[in-house]
Amino acid sequence: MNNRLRVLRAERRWSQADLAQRLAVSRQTVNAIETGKYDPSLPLAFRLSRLFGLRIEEIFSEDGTAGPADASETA
Amino acid sequence: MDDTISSWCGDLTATDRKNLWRVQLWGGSWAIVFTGASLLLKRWPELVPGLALRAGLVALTTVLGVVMVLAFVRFLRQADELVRRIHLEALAVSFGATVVITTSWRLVERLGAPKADISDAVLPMMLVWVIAQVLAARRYR
Repeated sequence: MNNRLRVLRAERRWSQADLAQRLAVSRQTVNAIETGKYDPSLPLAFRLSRLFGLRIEEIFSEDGTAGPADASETA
Repeated sequence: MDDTISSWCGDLTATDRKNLWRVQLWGGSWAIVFTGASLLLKRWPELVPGLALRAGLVALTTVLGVVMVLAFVRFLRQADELVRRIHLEALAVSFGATVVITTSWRLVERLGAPKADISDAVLPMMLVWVIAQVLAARRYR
């Protein structure tokens, strides 16, 4: 599973610890998701979706195509 | 401000630390009472006269053990989801390794090794559990 979490976080100038606090998870969880070592649960994916104001498939994808372009294709 | 703290079994949030403290508290209480009860019943049974008192000691040990398990289940249910993953992986490895070690030891006994008691499985189980936690936590760093 690929994701744009690092980019989205960097756009907002948040550290991993900032994002972790906003999501009520540990910094290690944020890091593991960003590096692709861990896929988040569905509830956490929805929390990310709400936090960034994006749909889940705009953040996560199976083939690395997650992003606004995908969203416009599937909208 | 981020409230997570790194530990050998992964980064722990404030909730994780509070729940883990409860597990350690009940676990420590159980270990102390279990050790005391074992010593009393084996070496100084005269200090615990009567079946009712001895049964009460056993019951107290058992209740503390159950509370410890419930505290651990609560910790797991409320844990940060990656911490939960780390602990569940470690528990799976520990359980599997204990099954393999104990069944293999049965075969080793037939080759002349000393017979092992079921309680002898606790030590390797705990050791593997701790090592598996450390390895699982490192994998997600």
